[in-house]
Amino acid sequence: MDNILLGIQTALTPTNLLVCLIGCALGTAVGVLPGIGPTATIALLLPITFNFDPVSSLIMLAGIYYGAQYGGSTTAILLNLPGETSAAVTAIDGYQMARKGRAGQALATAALGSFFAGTVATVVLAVFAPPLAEAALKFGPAEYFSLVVLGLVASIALASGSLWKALAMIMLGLLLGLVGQDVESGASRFTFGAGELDGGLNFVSLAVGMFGVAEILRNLATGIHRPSMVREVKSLRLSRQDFKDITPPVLRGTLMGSLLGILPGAGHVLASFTSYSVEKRLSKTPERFGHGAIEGVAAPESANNAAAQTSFIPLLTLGLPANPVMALLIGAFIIQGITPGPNVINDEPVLFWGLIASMWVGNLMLVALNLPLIGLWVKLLTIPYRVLFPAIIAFSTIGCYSLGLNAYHVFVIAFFGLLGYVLIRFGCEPAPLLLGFVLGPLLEENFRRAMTISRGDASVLLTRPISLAMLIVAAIFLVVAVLPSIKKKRDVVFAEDE
Amino acid sequence: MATDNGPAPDGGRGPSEVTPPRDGSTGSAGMSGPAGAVGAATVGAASPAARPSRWQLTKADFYSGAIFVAFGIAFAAASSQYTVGTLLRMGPGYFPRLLGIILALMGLAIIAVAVLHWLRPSSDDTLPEDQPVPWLRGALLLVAVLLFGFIIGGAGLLPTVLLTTFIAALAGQGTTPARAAVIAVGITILCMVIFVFLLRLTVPLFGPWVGG
Repeated sequence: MDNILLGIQTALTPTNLLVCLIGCALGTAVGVLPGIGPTATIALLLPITFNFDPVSSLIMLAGIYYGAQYGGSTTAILLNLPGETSAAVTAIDGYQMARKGRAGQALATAALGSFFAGTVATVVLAVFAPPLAEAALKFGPAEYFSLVVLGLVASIALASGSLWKALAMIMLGLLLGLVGQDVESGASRFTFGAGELDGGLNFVSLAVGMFGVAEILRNLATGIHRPSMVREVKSLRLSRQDFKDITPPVLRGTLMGSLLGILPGAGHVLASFTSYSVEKRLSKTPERFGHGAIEGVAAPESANNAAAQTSFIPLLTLGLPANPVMALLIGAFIIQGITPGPNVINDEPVLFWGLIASMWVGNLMLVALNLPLIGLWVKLLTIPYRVLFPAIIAFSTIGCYSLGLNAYHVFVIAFFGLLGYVLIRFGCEPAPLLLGFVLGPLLEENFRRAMTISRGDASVLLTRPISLAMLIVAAIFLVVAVLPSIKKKRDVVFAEDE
Repeated sequence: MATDNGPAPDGGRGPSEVTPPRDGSTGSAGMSGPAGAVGAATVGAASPAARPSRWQLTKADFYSGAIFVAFGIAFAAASSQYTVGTLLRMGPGYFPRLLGIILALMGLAIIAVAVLHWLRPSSDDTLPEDQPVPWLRGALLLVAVLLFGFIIGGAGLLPTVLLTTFIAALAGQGTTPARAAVIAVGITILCMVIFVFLLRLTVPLFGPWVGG
């Protein structure tokens, strides 16, 4: 209880309220805008937040993340243009509602559902994170090694696309993460004798290159589609019947989202797809789905917002990123001099509880930001991409240069921009690489320690029960991902909504 | 890891498959952000165009496999310069060499799968994303970033940002030099306000080359 009060006090200081507001507003903006997402935005803003104290910077970065979930659903409903992957499901019925003149109701449902889900998920986070961290503190190096392996494997197993390529991207990321001075021996590895590389490849430059520049290169080739017609928003008021219709889906969506969000990988995308399918199956009138069923908006919106919130649990308790945004937040922690992991709750209570409380405050702000200001957000879509991308370039270069006033950070952007684009073209998504990059040093450190303790006996990973259990789960994830029957089934789940 | 803007490997798949096609805007949902690029391509490939050749179907796998093999071998070879050691006493070279070998093997596996696919293409193959490469415009963009690194020390912040955003803006589709100049001036002003005025960045506005 004291902790929650501490958190609320932290979140309500004027500075933190302001950065939370800025984060939420920025998040909504990039959620609305196609061509730039929260990963790139957070990467761009990382250098700026170094000037803030750790709590404020993380509050702002987190705000960008969940704010983007709100923004993405706005354009999904009004324009059938999901700014975010997880909003794709919302577009199905949300846009149909808008076509029938019920855009306001769809937006209100999305906002209220998200707010409710965000509130519940924040509580889930506050209740379940501390015991989980407590358990993780008992982990030895062998357990930690297996945990990292499990986290990495799970993060790709749930997503579609080539499993081999994703695994190879993780390996490449792990290797790139090892560039720089070896902590134990002090040897400079893979630095080509360049002193700049002793501290490792610059994390921000890598992320900005992979998610910012590579993305622009991709968009230059494909072009960005701009919608011409925006559906009118008449009234935001929900009728009593609407409330009755959305209550059960919101509750179920929140539950599913809270659970699935903890999973590494496509947690919140999976959550919105799953909750939509569930509602359709439970409905007495499934034929309404796809034609503007309000339940089809309420469930996925609650689910993806709950999941966005609970995906902080592995980050704050285990130091494991569930997705690239969380990987960036790990980078933010480290740059602020805090090692993310089970110790954060005890060592940095102000940070932990302040961040949690700010998420609830942020959700409240988002409702206020989104419903009345809807017209403003839609106006953002009139910013042409040819203006947007040079601005992204300017921000990336200035931001990364400001890190150490060193041109090397800027060259790293160009290198990873090019590498990222080439890999994307050959069907390799950059997200696993970033996760690997962040976790590389952690994995090596724990591997070495585990081997030292076991006197060079690699079987220790399999003889310690917790470690074994985690490796078995990881193996199951891999098997599930390659089994063709399950793959097909998953495609059918998605396809039947058409 | 489908987070956000579809850096998710899942990315492209979601939107294109669930977008109700009946609203007439084919694949408009797929056009959003990064996820969209893949999505849009999938939608395009669904139309019964000329059957893709075997090479078109598998070249991405061959190339990406080759990249992974190259990186894997490079890291493994470079690791041998450092003390490798044993499992009990691991040197700085041990872990990276292990990972490098695994990466190279994975690259080989990707190539092997591609070879099998090449030998036996299945009937429901769809063409992967294959947009034209924006050679010139892409090069402009990378030149802008590199140039920033080369001249920031000598020219100072203001001239550097102005010049590099101008070059970057030229990469835009149909952006004329005059328009690029307007965009560059606008962005430069914005950046100066944010970085110099609000964030008090300590980079000199004008460097020694321009009398700063």
